[in-house]
Amino acid sequence: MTYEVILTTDRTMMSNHHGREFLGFIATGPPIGVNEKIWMWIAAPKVKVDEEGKPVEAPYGMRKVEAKLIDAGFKAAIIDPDYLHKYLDAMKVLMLGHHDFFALGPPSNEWWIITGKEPINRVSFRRLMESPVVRKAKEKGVKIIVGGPAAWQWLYELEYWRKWGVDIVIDGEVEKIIVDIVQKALNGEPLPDYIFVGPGDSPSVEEIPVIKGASVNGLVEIMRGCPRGCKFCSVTLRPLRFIPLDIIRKEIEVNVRHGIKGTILHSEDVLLYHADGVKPRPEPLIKLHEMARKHTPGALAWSHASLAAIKYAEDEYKLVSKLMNDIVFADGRQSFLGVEVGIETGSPRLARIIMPAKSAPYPPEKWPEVVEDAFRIMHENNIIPAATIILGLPEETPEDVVKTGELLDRLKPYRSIIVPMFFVPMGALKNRDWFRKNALKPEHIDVMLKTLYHTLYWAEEIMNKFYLKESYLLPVRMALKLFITYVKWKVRRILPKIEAMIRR
Amino acid sequence: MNTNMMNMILVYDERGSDVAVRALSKIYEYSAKGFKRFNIIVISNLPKPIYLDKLKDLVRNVVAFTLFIKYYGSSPKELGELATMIRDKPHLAIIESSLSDYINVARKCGLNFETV
Repeated sequence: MTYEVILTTDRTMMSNHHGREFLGFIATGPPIGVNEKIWMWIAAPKVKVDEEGKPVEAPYGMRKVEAKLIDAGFKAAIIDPDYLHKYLDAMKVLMLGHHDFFALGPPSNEWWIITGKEPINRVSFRRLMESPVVRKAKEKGVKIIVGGPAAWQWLYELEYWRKWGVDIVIDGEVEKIIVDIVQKALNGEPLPDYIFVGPGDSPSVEEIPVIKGASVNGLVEIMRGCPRGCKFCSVTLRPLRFIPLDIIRKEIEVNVRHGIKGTILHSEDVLLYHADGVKPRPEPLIKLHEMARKHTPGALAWSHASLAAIKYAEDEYKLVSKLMNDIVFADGRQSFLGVEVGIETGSPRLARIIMPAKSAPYPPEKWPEVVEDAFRIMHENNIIPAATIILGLPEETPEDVVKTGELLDRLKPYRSIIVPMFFVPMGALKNRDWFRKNALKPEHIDVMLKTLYHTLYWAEEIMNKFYLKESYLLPVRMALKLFITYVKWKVRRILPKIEAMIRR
Repeated sequence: MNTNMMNMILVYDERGSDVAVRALSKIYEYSAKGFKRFNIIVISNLPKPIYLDKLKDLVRNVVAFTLFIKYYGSSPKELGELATMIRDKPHLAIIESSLSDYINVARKCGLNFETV
């Protein structure tokens, strides 16, 4: 089979990260303490491919675009970056997607600022674009289309855009426009240079296709959009849509058919699936989890959940315990559930300004209590959160950062990873300025150290007892242990300097 | 995709940022009149895609509407060509005030235009 429309991305994205999604975040940093090859192997090992070079698992967003194009009759396929050469003659359109093309998003930009070294995702993407096969494709007139959540970054890298001959950049949900754009590209018709798809042109549920091939680690979308309206987030600008259960089931079946054992339920807030506003409802969540459990041979995970929804669901209905004990863990197929959560700040004042509905149905004044209660509930139910904190939010004061530090002290007893991120202008705040190194205050450094100590404290238990306990992951576990040892040593070495800086 | 579409021609060289600021305020103005999609066509001596540097803030400020941005050319003649295609559709041209040749073309071709 030959394909004229090829979708691909660089290795940091085209990987299943050893079946552990969170390891993919390692690709947002530069190699630290080990050489680049080992770093890449830990973060983004090569993915299995079929005889055509099509990856068994590929990023979900690319799977959606691929499905839309196939449904429209195009000869389109996702191809692993190592196999692009097989299609050089037939290829007419090359499409690239990424979460963070140039490492300008969180947390890549933060590691870049702290270490002064280019993160590996940026290096890897640049290598792909400068590889002989992509250069040859461009020379022979292949149209290059780029998109995905990091599309906006091209506006800040115009020299690369020019140098690599990118024809069009598309920012936003593409289902309603991509068929027309690809058709024009194939016909050699003029294309816009940049498209920003506004919320009015978001696809309806019916316009979103079912994936044809497996997604990385079995990720399937259960919702799009988010009702919370946090100002730093772009997802919240999109209309809220719930994917019907039978569509979710079909996508899980696609994944299972391709040998993917697990399912990651993807939403900005899984517990808001068919919720009453921001109040989780037991019935749809139980049905969703029962269906997912029934059709998933391996582990279930949540992509994201809000702390307020976790607290509300448990306080009102004991729903988190029910979901975990009666469904997710019931048959012993898994002993923990992973999820990403957003703390962002420990300051009720700043929460009220930046994310007034994140604590809902509780008031922003209760935000620290909501966070702490949700962490306790997760700890008691073997849910392991990877939490984020945002430093340098617009209108942040040193007192706000101190409050975040105080909240981190209260979270010490709870098993979790906490990652500080520097503010990157997105969502309703996308016109605001980046948080930069020279804006770092002693309070920020204090919070960063607290998150580091917290994460180092819990990382080993999480690796040994939960996340990487399988024997086939022993080499990854050993490599990460070495890395943690290196980080501890490095921090001990530079700590006096840091403490002096904080005292100043 | 052509419904509710306003065509905006931006003509600029060095003062593109000023043109973009005016364009942004016009986008909000037209959105209140029901336009939800904006087709932004650029005539500039700045080459493709470098001309987008001047439009970065505009793009980053628009969250509620769909934008199509394209480069059309650099000469007054190309503005004339564009004018013949667009003048019967909803449109507005915003032209850097020092570019008198382009202003003359816009006037001659019957474009709705403003200078910045």
